[in-house]
Amino acid sequence: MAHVAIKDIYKNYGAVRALKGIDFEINDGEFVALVGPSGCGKTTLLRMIAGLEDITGGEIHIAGRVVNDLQPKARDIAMVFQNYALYPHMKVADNMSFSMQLAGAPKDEIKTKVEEAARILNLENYLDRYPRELSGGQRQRVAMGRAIVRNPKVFLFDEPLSNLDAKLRVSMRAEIKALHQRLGTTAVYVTHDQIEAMTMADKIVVMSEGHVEQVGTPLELYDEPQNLFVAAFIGSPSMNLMEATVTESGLKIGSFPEIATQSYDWLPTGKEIVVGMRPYDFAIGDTGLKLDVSVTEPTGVETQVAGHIEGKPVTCLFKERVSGRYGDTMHVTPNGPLHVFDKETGQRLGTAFTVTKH
Amino acid sequence: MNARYTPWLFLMPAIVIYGFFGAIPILQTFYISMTDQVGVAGAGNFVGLTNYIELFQDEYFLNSLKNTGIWVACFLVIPNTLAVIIALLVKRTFWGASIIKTVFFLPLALSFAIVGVIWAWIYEPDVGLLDQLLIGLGLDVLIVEWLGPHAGNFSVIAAAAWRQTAFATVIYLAGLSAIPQELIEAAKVDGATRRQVFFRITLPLLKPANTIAVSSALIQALLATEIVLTMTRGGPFGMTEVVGYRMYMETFWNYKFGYGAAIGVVVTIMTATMVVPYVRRMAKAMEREWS
Repeated sequence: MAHVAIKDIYKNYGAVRALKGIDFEINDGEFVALVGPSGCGKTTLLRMIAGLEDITGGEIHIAGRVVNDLQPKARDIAMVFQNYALYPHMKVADNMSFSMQLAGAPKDEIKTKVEEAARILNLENYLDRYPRELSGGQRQRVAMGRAIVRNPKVFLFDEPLSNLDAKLRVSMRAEIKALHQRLGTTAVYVTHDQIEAMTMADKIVVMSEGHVEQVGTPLELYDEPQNLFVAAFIGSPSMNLMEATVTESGLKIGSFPEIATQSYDWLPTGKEIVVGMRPYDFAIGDTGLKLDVSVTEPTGVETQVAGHIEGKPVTCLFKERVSGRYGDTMHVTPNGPLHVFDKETGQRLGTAFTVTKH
Repeated sequence: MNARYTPWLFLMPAIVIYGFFGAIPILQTFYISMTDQVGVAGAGNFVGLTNYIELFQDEYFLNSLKNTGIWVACFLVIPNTLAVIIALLVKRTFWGASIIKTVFFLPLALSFAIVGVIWAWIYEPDVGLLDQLLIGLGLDVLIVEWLGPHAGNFSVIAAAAWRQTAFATVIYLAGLSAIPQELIEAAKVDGATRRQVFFRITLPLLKPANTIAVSSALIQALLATEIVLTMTRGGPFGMTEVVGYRMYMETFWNYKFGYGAAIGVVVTIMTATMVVPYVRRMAKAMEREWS
């Protein structure tokens, strides 16, 4: 177990600046997800923590020690790779115990540790098999077993579930989370799937284009996204973002009737803003924003309506059963918190609550 | 057409071609080896195993057999070891890597006969490249009569190994690039030193490449003929003769077709016993990968 600190980390590949000053801390025993779109630098950062990638600038601390110049093996970390990276010429037991063999651990200790890990991961019957004889999910477990056996200070996961099918992904997600809670080891988990990040992590670091957009708990990111990037990235379906203007008693989207809100001093009249509305935060009515329906997708428990407001794509989710076809129109009114962003900077201004007009 | 015969139908073209150009000639050679046929004028008389009995009392043949043995031993070790080292060195991308790779692969474009001609020049006493090089370095003491009675066989092997190394390098490079980088990284994270990564990960995973390189080396060593022909013509005093060369001489210079065929059969049996296990291993590995 260990505290990890990422201090002002830079990474250049020649002229390309892959990481531009990354700063955050991971507390002892915390499960942190690094999430962002492809190319945001999350995997590079993980590989730098592992010691597989040189650090251009800044410092990485693991358990109070600067590890910049340490070899991977000296960092006391274990890594689970995206495609498992199991040694194809070794049986499962040898794959899991390779690090202990290298460290010269006694045979009976290796045996005990491997059997314990196998029991945790339900791999007891597969110890004598080769990786090629296992299914994708079992290989994934072996890769985790290899990490567990080492009892490292930090677990590093590089998109470990992305090669599994959807159903298996959901169950492995729960397994990894349960495993983390059982072992209590600090973990850094890279994923591009925000749902994975939301469901598994204690803390999420949202990255884009080589910098950190926001660090926070899953619900902090959901409830108070600090900028338009995080707003659009976190939550599924993602938040609807519309340009709007602040009026005397609310805000106005296009030519539609004003949406009345409480008044806030950070919301001066006439300001150009972007307003974010979660898909769940709409009510159907006779007046309000005119939604041109593209498709409705009933799932039984709720209905998802995709369409356009003022030509901008919008998704709404209703608890009630709604029908509508391409070309139909619907009137919807936001009835939840309005996330208000500065149109110019894209930064969050605050949350505005709607008021019902009488 | 039913499921029982369909596979055979698909195998037919291969079987027919192999039959005409493989099996039948081998059987024919086996038959000729038991006759006293001379030249191509007509079939000889059946003499049973006489040729074989004579063969294993033939000083020249036994000498060539010994030399072929040395070829096999050298070919198993030298090209393979060098090729793994070269492949590891040129695998990394660096400035001029492709030029260096080309230089190492170039010998592959030359037949063993041409390699023999080139190296005969290199080995030329006094004016040859090797002697000039040693004189230039002040290492005159090392100069021997490269193609003379003592060093001859090894000098020819060295020339052939040059080309074989190029072949093995290509194979090992392909083998190396088939090893996922993540495995090496995983081993590093697991605590392996560079040495341990090489011996416990890289080398075992080069096994398929090794199988190809070793069986090729065995075949080339057992069948070597042209290079001996263009470099030394077996001389001096037959000191560089190998079985393939012996077979050629008996058949096409002495016109002892029956006797030459007997040598051919011996070579075939040696090749089969040494190479088949490797080819089987390769076939099994392929089956495993494709299943």
